[in-house]
Formats: sequence, C-alpha cells, structure tokens
Amino acid sequence: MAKIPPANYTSIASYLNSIYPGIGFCVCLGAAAKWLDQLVPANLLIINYVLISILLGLLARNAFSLPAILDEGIGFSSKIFLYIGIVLLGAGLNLVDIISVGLAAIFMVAISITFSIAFCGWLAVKIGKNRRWGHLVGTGIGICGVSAIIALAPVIKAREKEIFTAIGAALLVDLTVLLFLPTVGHSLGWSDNLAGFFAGGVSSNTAQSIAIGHAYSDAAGAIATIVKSVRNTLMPVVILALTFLYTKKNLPLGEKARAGLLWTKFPKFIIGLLAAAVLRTAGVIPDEGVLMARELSSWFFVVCFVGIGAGINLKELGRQDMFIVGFGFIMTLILGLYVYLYSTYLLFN
Amino acid sequence: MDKINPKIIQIEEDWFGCVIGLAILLVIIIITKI
Repeated sequence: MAKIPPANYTSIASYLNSIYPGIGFCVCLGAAAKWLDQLVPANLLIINYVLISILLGLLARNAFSLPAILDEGIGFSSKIFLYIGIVLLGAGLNLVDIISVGLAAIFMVAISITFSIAFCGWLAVKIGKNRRWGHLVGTGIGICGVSAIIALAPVIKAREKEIFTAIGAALLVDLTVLLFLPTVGHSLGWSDNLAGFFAGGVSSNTAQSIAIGHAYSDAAGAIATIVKSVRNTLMPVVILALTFLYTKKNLPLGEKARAGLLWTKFPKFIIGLLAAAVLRTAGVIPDEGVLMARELSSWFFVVCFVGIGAGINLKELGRQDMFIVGFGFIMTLILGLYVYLYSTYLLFN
Repeated sequence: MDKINPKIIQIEEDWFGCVIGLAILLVIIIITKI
C-alpha cells in the first residue's frame, strides 16, 4: 500500500498545499452531482448521484484539459475519501450481517479468484502470450485491479508493458460492469442482494466496485462493500500462493515468500469497517449517529466518485491494444455469468 | 518538485483512511450522546 505523503515532499505543509486544489475541485463537482441528483425524477433509477458524479469527473478530465495542479488532490480523493467512507458505512452495518454476507461471499470469491488466475494463465499460453502476463491479468480481474497487479508484479518479476496491459484490462472490466449493472439489473428486476454480490464479485477496482453497487441502490452498495472487502482480504493469500507456485516451478521470482506479506498487503480500512460495525452492534452508536454517519459517508463517496471519473483518461484507454479489450471483455462475461449463477442458485435460491 | 526528505513521517493510505474514519465516528458518537 502506498504511503502519504509521498517521499518527494519535504514537509506535511507542502503536501497539503499540493492536494487541496484537487480535493476542492472534487468537492465542488460532488456537490453539483448531489444537486443534479435531486432534479432527476425518482423513477429514473439508473441515473443517480453516483453515475452523475463519475460522469462529471469523466467530462471534466476529457472535455477540458485539467491543470496538473489538480492531479495529486484528485488521486487523494479517489482513495482516501473512499476508505473514510467505507469506515463510516460500517456504522450502519450489523456485525452479524457482515459475517453472514462475508461467509457467503468467501467461497464464491475463492473459486472465482482461483479460476480467474488459472484460466487467464492457461489462455495466455494458448494465444501466444506468456503465463506470467496471464497470471497478472487474472489477479487484476479476480481480486482488486490495479493494486493487486502492482502488489504482485515485483514478486513475479513482471515487465512494465505486462503491468500496463494488465491494468488496462482490469479498468475495461470495471467500465463494462459500470454501464451494465444499473441498466440491465433494473430492467431484469434484480434484488439488492444479487446486484450487491454482482458489483462486489465482478468489478475489480475497490472504489468502482462500491460505486457500481451504490449506482444500483444504497443496500446493494453496502453488500458490494462487504463482498469486495472479502476479495481484497484474499489478495495477500493469493500473492503468497503464487509465490510458492513460482518457487516450486523454478520460475523467476523478485521477492521471497514470507509470512509478513500477509499483513503488509492486508487492506487495513477493513479493520475500521469492522470496528464501526462492532460499535453499532454493541449499541454504542445511536440511530441518530447512524443517520449522520450514513450522510457523511455518502459525501465522502461522492467526492471519491468524482475523483474516479476524473482519473479516467479516455485517450489512454483508446490507445489500449484491442486484443486486451477483447481479453478483458471475455473474462468479464465469464466472471459475471459465474457470479450471477452462484448468487442466484446457491445463495438466494 | 521538492527534494526527497527521508525524515518526513509517512503513513499507509489505508491506515490513514481507517484512522480518520474512526475519528469522525468518535466525534459523531460524542455529538449524538450529549
């Protein structure tokens, strides 16, 4: 996990100076998204503040040339505000619900991650790419996109181009799910549970996964957060497992497997989510506090979602190899079909 | 670009978000309990 402030800053003050313009920009567009959301008729379920905020960010980045001074703050908003929002979301969740959703998700997710990595590794060899590239793409799509790829890359000595294309494939998967779920899910009358498992189980980037869940409904967003957290928690286990596999097969390794890897790669914001849920379940947080935390959490999320939109440069995506687009699309279809069938017939039957 | 300063105190992004989130929650609890 990256650290803040980055090492190239001389002081906390210089770092704060570099992030506040971007945060201010995301807050302004986030407030505009919330305002626009109130103008949208209530029966238009597809259009809500999540989609509006992502679209505003996307529009700002791609229609206008945003000054570089905003970049650090936009990056900060799309990550830190997400973690804060997730912790506050925990204040409205019951620990028993988290455990029951988490237990239901863990088997589904363990199968999808294993399949995704093994299948991508196999397919990569069949189509003339190397297995390492396949494992990178499989890890990105199976677990949590960019952060899993970045975490795995030094371990299996991936090359820069392999990392770039794997990240591209994971981003394309997210864009596909973002457009698919609110439109198709609502027209087919999917329940919040199913939509939440789909958003949390298929989309690879944590922020986009939660955004997609919330784009469906707030309840689906909460379920997507738990399912996605389970996937993230499995990231260090997968990296350790792949390290052992590469050691066993005598493939090049950058870092040696060590038990400490499990902790260094563990997403710590999940501890905050669980702590908040424990406080709620123990009755420490009153109903009024839950409402306040939920409102604040939606504000942190909306600022984060603007940051996500503003972080997507369509020109860069357009430069992606069409082959990668196809690869990511096929994996999304397979993963989506699996999560749909597993959720429909094994979890909510 | 500023020069690299090894003495600057750094914190992992997810720990930072976790701590700030819990601090805000603590403030909410105090406000609503008073």
